[in-house]
Amino acid sequence: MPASDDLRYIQAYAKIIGVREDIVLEYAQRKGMVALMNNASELLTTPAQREKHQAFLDLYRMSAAVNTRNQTIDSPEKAADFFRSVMGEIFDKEAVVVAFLNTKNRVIGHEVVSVGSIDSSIVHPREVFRNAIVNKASAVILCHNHPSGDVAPSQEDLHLTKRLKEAGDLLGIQVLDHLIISGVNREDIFSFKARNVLERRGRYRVRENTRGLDR
Amino acid sequence: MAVRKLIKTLLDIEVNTDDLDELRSNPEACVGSKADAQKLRELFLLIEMTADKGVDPDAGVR
Repeated sequence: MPASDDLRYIQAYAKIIGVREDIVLEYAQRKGMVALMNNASELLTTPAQREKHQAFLDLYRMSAAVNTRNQTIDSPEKAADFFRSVMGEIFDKEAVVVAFLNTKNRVIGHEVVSVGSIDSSIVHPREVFRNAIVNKASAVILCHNHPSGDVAPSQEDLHLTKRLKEAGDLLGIQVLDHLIISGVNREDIFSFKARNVLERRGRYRVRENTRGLDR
Repeated sequence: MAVRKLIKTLLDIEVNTDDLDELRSNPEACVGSKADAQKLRELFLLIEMTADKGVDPDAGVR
């Protein structure tokens, strides 16, 4: 039996798209909840259902809720804004967070990988990429904070970044950037992309005057 | 496609604006009956829940 919020979702979807609830329930149990939106071709048997499903997806894309929650990240500044918003309660400890992005650089999820240390023995590539694979991410952006306020990367930070880049290359998941954010003013950032530790390519643009880069 | 046309397809109701924020925050002012306003609320609830599930808006459908 699905959780209550999943059941609510199934009921709302069935009512609006015009599919029997028991059929939607069975499909969701077999294929997973997200498949209702991303892979519904087997579920939708009439032209009217398919038209409604498409209309819903169009509306979903246009919705402000989607645009604000699933923002597109195309620069270190936008990435830093995103991570500040999700790291609010853990800024006083050294924490590592990874954002999962689709092919359009839209955030499709994030995960706190570690709190307390960024030692490479703790931040293992398998921890970073496990949910990237589950989320079918095309790219990831890593971020951690330096509670001291000094955003200069350590040798350990550099080693970790290179290790993750190599793992990402093997998996076909690009490491778009790795940011360090000051834990004191939360404004200063260091971008490994801007420092050319990570390749500059794709939709992610680095301004030469990105704050904190030369620290 | 215009928002009002998408909503017509989905709910078979007429709305008087394409402004999604207005439709979401003040549905009664955008439709002709309380029943239609309730349908709009349910639609935006489904959109919210879809976002909560992390559905990729750019994913291919279909």
